[in-house]
Amino acid sequence: MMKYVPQIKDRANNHNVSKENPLRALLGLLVFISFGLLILLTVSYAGIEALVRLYPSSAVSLLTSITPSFDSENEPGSVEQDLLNRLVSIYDKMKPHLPLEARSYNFQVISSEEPNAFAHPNGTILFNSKTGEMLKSEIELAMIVAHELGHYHHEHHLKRISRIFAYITTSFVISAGFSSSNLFIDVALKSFLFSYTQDQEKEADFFGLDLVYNTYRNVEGVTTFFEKLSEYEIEWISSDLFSTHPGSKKRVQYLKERAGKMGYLKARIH
Amino acid sequence: MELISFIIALIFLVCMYFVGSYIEKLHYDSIHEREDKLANLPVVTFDKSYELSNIDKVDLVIGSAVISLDHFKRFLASLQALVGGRMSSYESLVDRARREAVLRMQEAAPGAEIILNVRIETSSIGSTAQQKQSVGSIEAIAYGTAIWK
Repeated sequence: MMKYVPQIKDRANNHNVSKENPLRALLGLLVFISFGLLILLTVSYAGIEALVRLYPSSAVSLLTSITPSFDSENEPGSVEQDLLNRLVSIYDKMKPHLPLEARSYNFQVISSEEPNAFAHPNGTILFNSKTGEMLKSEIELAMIVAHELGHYHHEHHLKRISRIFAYITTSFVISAGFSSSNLFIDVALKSFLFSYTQDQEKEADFFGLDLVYNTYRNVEGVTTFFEKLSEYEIEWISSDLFSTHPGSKKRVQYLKERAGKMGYLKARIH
Repeated sequence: MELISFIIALIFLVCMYFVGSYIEKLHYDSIHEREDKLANLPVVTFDKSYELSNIDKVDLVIGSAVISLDHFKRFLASLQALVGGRMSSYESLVDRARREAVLRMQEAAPGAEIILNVRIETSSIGSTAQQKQSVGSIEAIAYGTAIWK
């Protein structure tokens, strides 16, 4: 006959549950995974960068094919057509001052309430109609045109390919293994990648400023667009860390500094 | 907007760590207290070695419990799943569910002499179709034959 004796459990030593502090476990994992992702990013970036340098034209074709294209036709007399006419006129004035290689550009205007402009890798410069509504003077609009031309001049599309594909590769690996944690990793990745695109935006801004000055001998209004944009931005939210573009106030500031340094301010900057 | 999402998610994660830890502590306190109360009711896995004479009543008793991971542990688990190894964040979840199920089974047999042939099973429930890789909640079910004399 067996005898049952109730066990006195040692609650401090539950052998079924890990005694590791969860916060310490999280920290250790984050360090380990970050290191792994850094290696993956570096390898994929370096590999694609090498391919882009070897086959630049194929890289542009590939980028063009994966970027959504727009082919809109505007009604004669519409707001969009009016903006398109202004853009073409500005470009015609800028042409003789462009230090660019022989390349043709095509302007397109899309009806949108969001102020934005975008340089497509295939040479199409897209403008949202709202941008035209916001920018009444020619120089204000010319600055945005010149900025987009600056992206082509510096071949930013080509330079971004490696980063974009490194991001896609790493995101793919992350999405295969993560569920709820991907927001944090995604944000960390973007902050790493976007710091680079901010430099490119600054480079295009400086190119735009120089081109506007060379075309008009006047830079009054070049910062208007960014000043208007900054009115929509809440300062602590518009962090540079998580954005493809520098904050609008920062752009206004460095454009004014550059204009002063280059002597453009003899013509007053707004 | 991404900065806002990041900050909100981070605050939420930290809050859920403290909330989850507190709820887990309360649950363990309850488990310990009830285990002490029910310590004299044997729960055993054998079925044939028991003297089956002078039995007043026999009945199947079942206890089941569903316990969910908190957000912090789910986040930690998703990181641990990537690199493999010991899933420490699930351990307390399984432990709590198993012990709670056994306690509920014992509580379903008030005055019993013993519970024989006890079996414990677990299953994952609450994972959505989009999140098949993650465990939403775990169910533990304990069942056995209660003997009254």
